[in-house]
Amino acid sequence: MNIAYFTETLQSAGVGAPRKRSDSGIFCRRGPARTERTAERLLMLLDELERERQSGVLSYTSADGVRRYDVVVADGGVSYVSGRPGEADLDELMAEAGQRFAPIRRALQRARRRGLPLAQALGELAPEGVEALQRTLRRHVARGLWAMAGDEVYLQGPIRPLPGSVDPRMRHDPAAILEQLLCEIPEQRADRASELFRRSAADCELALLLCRGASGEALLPLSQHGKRPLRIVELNATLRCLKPLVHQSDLRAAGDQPELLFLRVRGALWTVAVAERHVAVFNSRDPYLRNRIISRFMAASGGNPA
Amino acid sequence: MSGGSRALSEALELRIGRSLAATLLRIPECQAAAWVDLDSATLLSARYRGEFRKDLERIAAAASDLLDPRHTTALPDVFGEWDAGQDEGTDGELVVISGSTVNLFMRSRSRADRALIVRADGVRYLGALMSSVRQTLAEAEETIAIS
Repeated sequence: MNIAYFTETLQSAGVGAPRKRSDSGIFCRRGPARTERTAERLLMLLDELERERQSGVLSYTSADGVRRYDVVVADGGVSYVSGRPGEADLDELMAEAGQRFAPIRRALQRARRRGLPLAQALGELAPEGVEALQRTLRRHVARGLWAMAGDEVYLQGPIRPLPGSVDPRMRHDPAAILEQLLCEIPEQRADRASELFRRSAADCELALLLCRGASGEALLPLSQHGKRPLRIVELNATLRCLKPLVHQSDLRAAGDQPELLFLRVRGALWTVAVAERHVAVFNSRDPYLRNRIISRFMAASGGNPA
Repeated sequence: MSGGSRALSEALELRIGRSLAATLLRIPECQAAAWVDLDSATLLSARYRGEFRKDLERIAAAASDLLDPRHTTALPDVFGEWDAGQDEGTDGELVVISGSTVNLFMRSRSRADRALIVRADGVRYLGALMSSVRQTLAEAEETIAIS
């Protein structure tokens, strides 16, 4: 499966045609027939994304037009990022989680008290806290997907069963299919790349923060900053291009561990900062940004700028 | 030290090699400079200090991979059209910084399948290094075009 299929599938289900012209969200149209197709195709899509180890982003926008969930499917794992631009949705989600998720609530409080990014505070959670977070996210993401599938029905009438071609478990409980997928909360402790992202994202037309998977090979999108959000196709193209740059084996064989890469494409400068846990990507037309990036990156480790 | 490929005639190798040697003289931090055939990932001509040949061959292979259009041109055009003439950089330039080492890859404008690579260590001013390498590139373009 490719990303073109991804888009076509959604469009043929009536979810690729937004109420306003936009590529950044998935909007549900009204109508029971469309609802069935939407729900079925969505679940098929998730299944195929997982099986084919493709990457993509599914966004759920609620009936009142508020972005609620972004589900990131990358390299076969289902990850989660809160609604752009920040962590308000996750905050709200955690508030719903109740006392059973005390460690997560404490992480939230700690983040607020110390002025830390929430992701960093979550990265400091004990394993049982991470597990609880995964369970919570899985459930809420499932609920979000179900809500997306049933959104128009919510507006127009009771939820109808999905067509017979869908696994029976999915008809009433989309969470069942999500249980089969890996819900991964990447380790999100700060490093030089995430620090550089924090300091430099606002200077760029586009900035992406990616988390390196456990093997170091996978790149999972964590955060995005820019004048406009990347479309799914663009995000995938970016990830495909970055992987060979980040993991170039011949350079490593020559004893190099690439930390900063500057690449000029169609007159714009792409900067890639590679650190232990994160990869930060910047795109800018500012000819002087390179020097600032070098200084900031080196400063983060006490080195001297080139 | 120097090394060249049999793929170039002796006269061409001499002309290109002279330009590479001048680069080493101009840039004290420069450890090696070479022209690479990107299609075959092989060195066309190289000048280097000390025993650097083995690593240079690996870097030539890396150049072929890193400058592969499938990687670079697929990056999305975030800005749309704009005036690229704000600085002297051109498409096909890649800088890779690894600790104190800088690898510079510059694709030839006259031959898209040729690239100049320069490896330097302990560089103080990246801008100055890039200007020097761009000068080498410009000096050799005419020769590279007929290589």
